[in-house]
Amino acid sequence: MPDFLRPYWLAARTWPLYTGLVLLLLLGFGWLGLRGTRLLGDDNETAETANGGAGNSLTGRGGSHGGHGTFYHK
Amino acid sequence: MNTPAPATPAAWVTCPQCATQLPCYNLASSRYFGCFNCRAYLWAVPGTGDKAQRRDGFKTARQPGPSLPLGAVVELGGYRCRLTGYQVRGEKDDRTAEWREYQLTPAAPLPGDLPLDFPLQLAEYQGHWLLIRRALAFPAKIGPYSVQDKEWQDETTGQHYRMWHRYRPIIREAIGEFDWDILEDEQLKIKEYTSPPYLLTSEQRGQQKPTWYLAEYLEPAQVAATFSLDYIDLPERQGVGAAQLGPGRQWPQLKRLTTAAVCLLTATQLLISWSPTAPQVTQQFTVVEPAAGATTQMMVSQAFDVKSSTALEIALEAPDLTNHWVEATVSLVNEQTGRGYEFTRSLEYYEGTEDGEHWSEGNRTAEALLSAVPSGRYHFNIYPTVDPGTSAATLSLSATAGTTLWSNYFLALCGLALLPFVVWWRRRDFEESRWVNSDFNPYATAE
Repeated sequence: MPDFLRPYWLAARTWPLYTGLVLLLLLGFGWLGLRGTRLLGDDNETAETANGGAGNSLTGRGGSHGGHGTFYHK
Repeated sequence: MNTPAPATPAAWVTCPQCATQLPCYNLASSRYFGCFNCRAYLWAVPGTGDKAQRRDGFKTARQPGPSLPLGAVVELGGYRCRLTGYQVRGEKDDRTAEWREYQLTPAAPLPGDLPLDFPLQLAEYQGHWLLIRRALAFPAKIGPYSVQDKEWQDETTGQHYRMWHRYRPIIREAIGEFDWDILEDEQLKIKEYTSPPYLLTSEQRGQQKPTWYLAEYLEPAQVAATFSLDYIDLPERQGVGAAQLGPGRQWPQLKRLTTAAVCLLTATQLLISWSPTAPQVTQQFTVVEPAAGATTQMMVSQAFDVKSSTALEIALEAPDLTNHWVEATVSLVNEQTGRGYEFTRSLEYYEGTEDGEHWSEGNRTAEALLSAVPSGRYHFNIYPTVDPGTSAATLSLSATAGTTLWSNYFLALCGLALLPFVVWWRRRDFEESRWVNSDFNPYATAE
């Protein structure tokens, strides 16, 4: 092991649980970033299934446009 | 095995004041004695038959008295020692401060000269115990600091010391035997430096070179086990001791680990955000009031491809909006699966002049972010509504893929910092409690 990594290895051995959680967090962060998933809020207001199944408008001006966001193909 | 039961003394000294027989275990070196019966302080050469001489006396017994049995033989500090003397000490400038010191001497004569560790002592203050021995090496000027400063670092051990206390001692009680005149210690000027679990003490008499002692913190349970006592027989621990080890002793390692994790996180974020953003569609629409009888209107954008799962940022702008509003429900539709994503935004902008001053409120732009939009061919359906009775409004929509999600980064940063913050806070709280007892409290705020 390179010398500059040795203190970090020792630190990881001192805090093994935290190290594990950090690795999980970094992996999760990278994966979510590549998928373009925002953890703090998505402006999407529909609650549809992935296959476009029936869903309800969660918020917004649903009274005037209720459910229209679903299947308007060109 | 420890032997708490006192052994037979080598000699007895008769108190000239009350005729009580006082045990003497160290015939060769003990010359000063404290009578446990009448509190007289004596000088004597035991075993010679000469009468002891009264030097002084302590008025009343200090409570709670010795917690450890005088005469007990224990293994402590690497030596088999006997507890031969007990003192209650205080400070000249602080009548409330009071602690107890126990003199330890070798239980059996050691070959050669007495080791440098001696005199070995146990000290107890508010239930906190210290094992004190002569410092083998004392600090001189080291690096940019010297012991004249209030903090400095020991070059050999790396221990970072801070000035803890400065005082002149007074002796309030003495029981047992001593090999020096303890009353002369009232001439000492004492400085203490803490670096848990150590407390380094310098004792200086007049302008003489100071003598250094190194004390190490002992848990009360250790002391109780050493003397075969119950933990509850010892004074109750109060507050935080000067050299007591605090929580989070592995803080430097945690700090190093967290720093590395933050660097990795930042690098990952930069790598992700490095991939160029890709404008998917930009289109302008003209929004008018619905035709008579119609309740809504719909406009459809050009179709576009999303290459891979991404965050899609949509910007709406009504550049010529003035003193009215436009509301639009925007629906992103996957042309292959039919799956839809929808959001609604209101744009309103008002301006005018009042009392000669121009004012404006509202905004002509709005943004939305659709998270984790899968790859596929998409288009937007837009359902706009305008302020009735106003002219047509131009609504511009643009969608960009690959937007950098900084909120994820800051959320992950908070996740990484949670444990270090808790450990740091506990350590700080502990240190603040410790330094409350010091005149050199670095946490004290100027009043």
